[in-house]
Amino acid sequence: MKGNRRDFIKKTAIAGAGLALAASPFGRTFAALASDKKVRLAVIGTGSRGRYLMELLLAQKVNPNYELVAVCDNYGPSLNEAVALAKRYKINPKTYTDYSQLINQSPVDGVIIATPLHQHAHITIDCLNKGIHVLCEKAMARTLDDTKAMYDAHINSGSILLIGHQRLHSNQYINALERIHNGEIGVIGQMKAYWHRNHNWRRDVPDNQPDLERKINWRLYKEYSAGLLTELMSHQLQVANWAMKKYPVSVMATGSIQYYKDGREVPDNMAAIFSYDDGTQFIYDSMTINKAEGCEEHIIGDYATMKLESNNILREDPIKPEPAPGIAQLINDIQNGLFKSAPIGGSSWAAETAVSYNGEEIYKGQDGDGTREEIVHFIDYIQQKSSPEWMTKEGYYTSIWSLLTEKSIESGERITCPDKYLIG
Amino acid sequence: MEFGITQIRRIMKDITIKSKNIRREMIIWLLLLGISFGLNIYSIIKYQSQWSELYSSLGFVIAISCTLYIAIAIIRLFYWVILKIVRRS
Ligand SMILES: NC(=O)c1ccc[n+]([C@@H]2O[C@H](COP(=O)([O-])OP(=O)(O)OC[C@H]3O[C@@H](n4cnc5c(N)ncnc54)[C@H](O)[C@@H]3O)[C@@H](O)[C@H]2O)c1
Repeated sequence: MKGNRRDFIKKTAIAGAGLALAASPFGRTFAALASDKKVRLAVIGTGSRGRYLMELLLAQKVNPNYELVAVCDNYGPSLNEAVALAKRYKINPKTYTDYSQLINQSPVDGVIIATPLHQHAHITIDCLNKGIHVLCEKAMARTLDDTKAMYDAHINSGSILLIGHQRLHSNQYINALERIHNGEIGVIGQMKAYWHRNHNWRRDVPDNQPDLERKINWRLYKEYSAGLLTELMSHQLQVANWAMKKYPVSVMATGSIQYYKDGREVPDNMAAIFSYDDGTQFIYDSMTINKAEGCEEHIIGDYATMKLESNNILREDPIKPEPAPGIAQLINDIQNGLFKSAPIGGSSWAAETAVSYNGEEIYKGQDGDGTREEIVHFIDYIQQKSSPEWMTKEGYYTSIWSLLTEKSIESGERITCPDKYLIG
Repeated sequence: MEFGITQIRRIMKDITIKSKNIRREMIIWLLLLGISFGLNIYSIIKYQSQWSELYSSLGFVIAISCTLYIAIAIIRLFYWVILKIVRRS
């Protein structure tokens, strides 16, 4: 990695201030002043995620300074559902089956891209080169070269490129990460995350159109996706990098198709260990046959552990509640049998049992996972004509390291990042 | 009936509160208040809590002194009733 830690902190601080400004009502007023023109948006890829983003966009009232002017999907049923959804909000966007027609014919300021992973890079690059700002779903691209090409197009065009890591926009995560960076959990010694689900990830394909299998179940085929790595792990790797304020230096990973031997090509379970230059490890695993442990990120410090998904902090020395007044304690002790016979000593063979302590809530008041805020921020950034650069880098390195994890699984080796993918 | 209306009337007449009685009851309660206050000092030392509890826990102290007073009053009442009955027979 080229950038050093001090650089990262400095840039993160500046960008963080930008985010805070954008997230505040003052920031929004400022943004609205920056341009009173309505932001014209389009959604490309109106499958399940695309329509979810559309719905959030249409339902949100925080920033009314935008309009959805076009939607595009190359699969009829997805496009029809998007049109029906827009109609419910009394909106009639233009429809396209080819994104290049959309960007050539419809004047748009920004696009939201929610196509399958292998369809991110060329669409994003074409939009950026046309001066259209892009919010592209995570992960960035299917290959390392495409990921770099997307980043380069962003730098060369000067257009905004935001990657859909919604935790970056969640107030719960922003608050927790700020507290981690302020030293509340002490020195980070290890990070641990997992995403366990009980689902085979398969979607039904219409009986009369078996040729749609690869289009509908793109997540299961290597040509289009790196499976668990780009779909799930990338979210949590981004959080780990955010906590560390730096990126890994190596990854060792393994994975297999152990359970769902149904013709899929991507692993149905995997485990990886990422190392950072200070020796901190990020230990990750994902599986698809059991959801008992669910999804979690543990950031473990010498003072405390933060469990970010469950919004919980477990202190090594829990803050003791204010003791009751002495006299109340005395009465309590009398009630509890102060005068009972006291044993001479405890039994030496009894093992220490874990202290039962459920930790404390980190943050109150976050509704949802940050996707709604992500969209609001994207509109704000378009109005301000700039976005926090560190966020784009987070998306970039997360994608790079997700794909390097795949290389480690395939080669069985510890993998480092080739110099050509390092950015300043 | 030996322990009838007349008997109760006589007892009622006996418990008419005189100022001398009030002073005695006040002294008993003040004594108990002192004991409760002492208990507060003892618990501040024993549990190493704040000396400010000398006044912040006054509510507790008064409540304890009242509880003790009531407890002692009940014992005294029993004692007094038994004594009356014994004397009468
Ligand atoms: N951030 C998150 O939490 C999150 C959650 C789910 C999905 N995603 C991401 O969203 C993206 C889409 O996932 P999904 O579950 O909605 O997939 P999906 O298969 O349901 O939808 C993808 C849609 O894109 C369309 N499409 C494919 N190629 C196209 C092209 N060239 N032009 C226009 N449309 C095209 C498909 O026809 C389909 O309708 C993926 O990148 C995925 O990783 C992110």
